[in-house]
Amino acid sequence: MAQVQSTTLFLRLPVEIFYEICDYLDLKTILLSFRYVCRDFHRITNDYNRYKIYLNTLSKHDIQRIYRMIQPKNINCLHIWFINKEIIQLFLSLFPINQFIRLKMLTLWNIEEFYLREILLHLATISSLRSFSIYSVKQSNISDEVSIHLSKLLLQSSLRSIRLMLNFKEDFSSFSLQRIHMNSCTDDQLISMINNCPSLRRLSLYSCPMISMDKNFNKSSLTHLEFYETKLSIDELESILRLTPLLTHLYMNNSKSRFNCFQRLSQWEDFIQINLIHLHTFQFSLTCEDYRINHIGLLLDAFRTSFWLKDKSWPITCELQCWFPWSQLTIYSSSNIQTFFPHCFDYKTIFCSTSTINNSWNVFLAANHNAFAYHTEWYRSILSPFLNKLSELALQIDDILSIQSLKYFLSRSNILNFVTSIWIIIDHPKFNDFKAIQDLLNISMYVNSVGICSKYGYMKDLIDKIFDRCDCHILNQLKIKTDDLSFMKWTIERVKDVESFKFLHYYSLPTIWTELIEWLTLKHDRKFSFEHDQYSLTITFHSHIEVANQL
Amino acid sequence: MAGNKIKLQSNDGDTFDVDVEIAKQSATIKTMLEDLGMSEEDDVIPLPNVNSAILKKVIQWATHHKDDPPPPEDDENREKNLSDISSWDQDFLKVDQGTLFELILAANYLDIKGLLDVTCKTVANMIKGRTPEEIRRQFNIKNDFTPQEEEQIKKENEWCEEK
Repeated sequence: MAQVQSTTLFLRLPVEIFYEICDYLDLKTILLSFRYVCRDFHRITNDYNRYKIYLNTLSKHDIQRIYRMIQPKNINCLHIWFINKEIIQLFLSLFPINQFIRLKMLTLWNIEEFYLREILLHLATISSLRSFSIYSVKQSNISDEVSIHLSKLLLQSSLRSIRLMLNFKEDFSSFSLQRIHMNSCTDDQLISMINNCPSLRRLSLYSCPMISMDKNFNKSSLTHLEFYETKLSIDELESILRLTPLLTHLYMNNSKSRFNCFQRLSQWEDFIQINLIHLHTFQFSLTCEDYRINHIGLLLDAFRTSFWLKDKSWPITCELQCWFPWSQLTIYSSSNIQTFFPHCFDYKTIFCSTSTINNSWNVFLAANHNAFAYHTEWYRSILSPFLNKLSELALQIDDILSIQSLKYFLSRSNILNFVTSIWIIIDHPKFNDFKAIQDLLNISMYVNSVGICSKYGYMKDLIDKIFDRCDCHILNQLKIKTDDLSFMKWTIERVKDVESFKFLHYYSLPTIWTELIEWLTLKHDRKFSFEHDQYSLTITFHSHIEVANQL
Repeated sequence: MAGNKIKLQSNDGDTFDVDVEIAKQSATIKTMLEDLGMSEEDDVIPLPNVNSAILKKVIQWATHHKDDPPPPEDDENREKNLSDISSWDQDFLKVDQGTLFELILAANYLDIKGLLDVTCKTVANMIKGRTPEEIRRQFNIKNDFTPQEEEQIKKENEWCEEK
């Protein structure tokens, strides 16, 4: 009875609700499944007027089928990839652009100028268009004719958002545009956007030009500003930002920045409080090569004030990558240094990372180039400012030679006098490697926590052999990066002398941690406590803990 | 009536004290309070299209989402994504179909965009990837096409196969 009532209720939902539901369905589900359920649904799919067409997902047969089922006036979103010319020609022959009288969004990828000109010509007759995007064109420069058509399109009063990733050099003037994404704009264009587009709220610029400081900018109403690979100097950037008092979101990245920009940025507390009082989201990623190693600490301290960490909640991550003779420093707005550690994205010889929410450094050493043996002093000078702030050391090992190279470097650089936690990362350990790893750990006198990372089939061997022969008298924690519940259980059973286990996950949800805790509670006779964050679960065995926490 | 609370009355007579800021997630209630000049001290706000059980669920949802940022202004240009339902919302919507559809109707009537979005997404997830027959079974819908219409559908698909 209840099911009959719910069915009745479902079929009596207003048609706009079914439209909302169809908004979340792909074209094929709507036309091949939903349409054929019952007469009501068939009628809904005939009248539904928010169809989204992604041309790259359609075959010639699909296009002919759509032609039979959907009227162009019911398509409001069109994404055209110019990959297969036959498909494009067929589509445009069956669906002339000027018939899309309710089209709201048009996106073009990799378009040829001939088609772009044709489409722009017909778009002039469509008054519903709200969003127009060109992601790329096959020719690097567009003709004057296309530029003129684009300028006309910009004047359409319905248009709210435009993305032009092409070489468009005309000035902007629009009362309706709220959002602009532009590639390689000129400084005159930038001024025209700010001065001649009173509704503009969001501006994203790729390869933003250098700005002549004597140009005449008006104060803007921008709330969102994004600079990708900006060439702006910090002075130019500040000049622009002084004219954007309503900004709430600011994003910028630059892979070829300067260290003096980092330093000025770290002093932006007053600048933001005076000029950007509404700013609540500030994201950036800046990389430079002209950093000064002894100034990194001061730089990060400037980002540790209560303004950055408490008032604004803007923690900063800092990464230093080195591979003789090259090195670079990156700062970005995030605190996720633990996300990938002990792995790192790019196996440079040295990869150091820290964040402003802690005061310690994780250091990753990749011994796969034997570089430490040749450039010991250079690498040592890189690491020396961080030695007394080392938190975790990760050693990426290839073979026994790389272990010897690491041993030599570790002893020369004094790292082992400062570190209490080591990760060993070795993908395919061979028989001789086990002994060498034990030796490496045995010279690490202050290490009380060891982490193991390897391919799945080698993990048990590594733990077996290392812990059988290792002089682990002060070792009290074993860390494992794994998503395998049975392996976690095996490790806890196998390594009984260790007090604490820390499990980090690769991809899986931490639900297996809940299962592990349940298993320990039910099957294990040792008392334990545990704690976890989004990255890891730590289990500590005690003799006098009465009640275990609950997840 | 408490200073920052209002009373909402369901169609079966139950009243609920709700924080004004939570209630204002409903554009319908917000309009009543702001545009139509109703004050928080006025009598209860009757909601004739929502029963007590569903209103309770709606208030529960609105309370959990009270600190969510407002939906972006250019929402209509945003790609609609089926997969971004939070785990809390997934648990919240583990209800029978009748309740789910009543929540949709309530969200539509009260004009609570976030709740309407997530409930419609949930129904869309129940449809996606299924054949017409599976959708009929899922929602207990009768195939009411006439034999002539069935033939037409068959021809429509045959036409596609031939190409």
